Amino acid sequence: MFNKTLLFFTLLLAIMPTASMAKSPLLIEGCVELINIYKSNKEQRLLAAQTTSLSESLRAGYCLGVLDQYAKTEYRCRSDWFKRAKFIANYSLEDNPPAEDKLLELSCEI
Amino acid sequence: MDGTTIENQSTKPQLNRWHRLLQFSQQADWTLSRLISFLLNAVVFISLLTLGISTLVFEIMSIFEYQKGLADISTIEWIFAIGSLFLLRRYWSYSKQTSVQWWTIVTAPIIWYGKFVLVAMLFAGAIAAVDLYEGSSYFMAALIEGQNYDQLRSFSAIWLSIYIAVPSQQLIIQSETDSYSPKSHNEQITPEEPEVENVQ
Repeated sequence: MFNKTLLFFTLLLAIMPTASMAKSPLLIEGCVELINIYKSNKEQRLLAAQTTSLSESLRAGYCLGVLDQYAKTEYRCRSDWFKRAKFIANYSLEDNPPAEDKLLELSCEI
Repeated sequence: MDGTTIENQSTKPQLNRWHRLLQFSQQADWTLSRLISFLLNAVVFISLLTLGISTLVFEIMSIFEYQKGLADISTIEWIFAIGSLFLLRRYWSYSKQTSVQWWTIVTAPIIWYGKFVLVAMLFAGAIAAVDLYEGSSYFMAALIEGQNYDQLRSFSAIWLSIYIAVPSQQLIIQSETDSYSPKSHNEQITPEEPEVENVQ
């Protein structure tokens, strides 16, 4: 009985990594995670620390870093990072989103 | 034999036949309604089961969404996993005291969860309908920005499903409960009463 249970859980854990949910490009994934942590550019959401995993927070950090760096290099891009993250995250439901450079460029136009 | 007796003799078998036909049609009608009811119940049961299982699998998969093993698990997800184990242990220990079949033990929480998912889908559908009507985007915003809260809602629904799916106490197997029931305790006390009366 114990061996069967152990075998079941082993198989389940083996299958888990192959059944990934994430399909969007890294920047879009990251921006989705970022707007799930923050509700504005200054305020975090309720229970954000408890509902966010390590891999999710790393992705959110990636998005924030890319947005910040892009704003530093592009003189005309001075809009709120939260609004730009939200703009990029909205592409997560699209099948063929634009490339990351294009997304960053478009996000500066809002 | 006069005319009326001949008439009665000829109408009696007709009445019997009519009565039998009526009985048969009533029985057929009754059976048909029960059959349709059974089929519809089966469809509802299978739909809820499918909905419950598919959503449950989706929720478990969404915990490991980035294939990063333990790094994918947040604090809430750890609490959910440990709490679920406790609730399942409780559910199993209550269910095994009853005469409920294994199939019902397995499906009862899933059916409850399917019902919760159905209600959530109806709410989501209503929000989507409002969006279509007013041209707003609340549904999309909730879908993208409210993922963590949606997960919390799902976890709560799963916990509640396991908690309330316990079988009725009336189904407890009697042989196991006799020694613990208050009735048997009273029975042990009652023999002393006549002794007291005798003394008086």
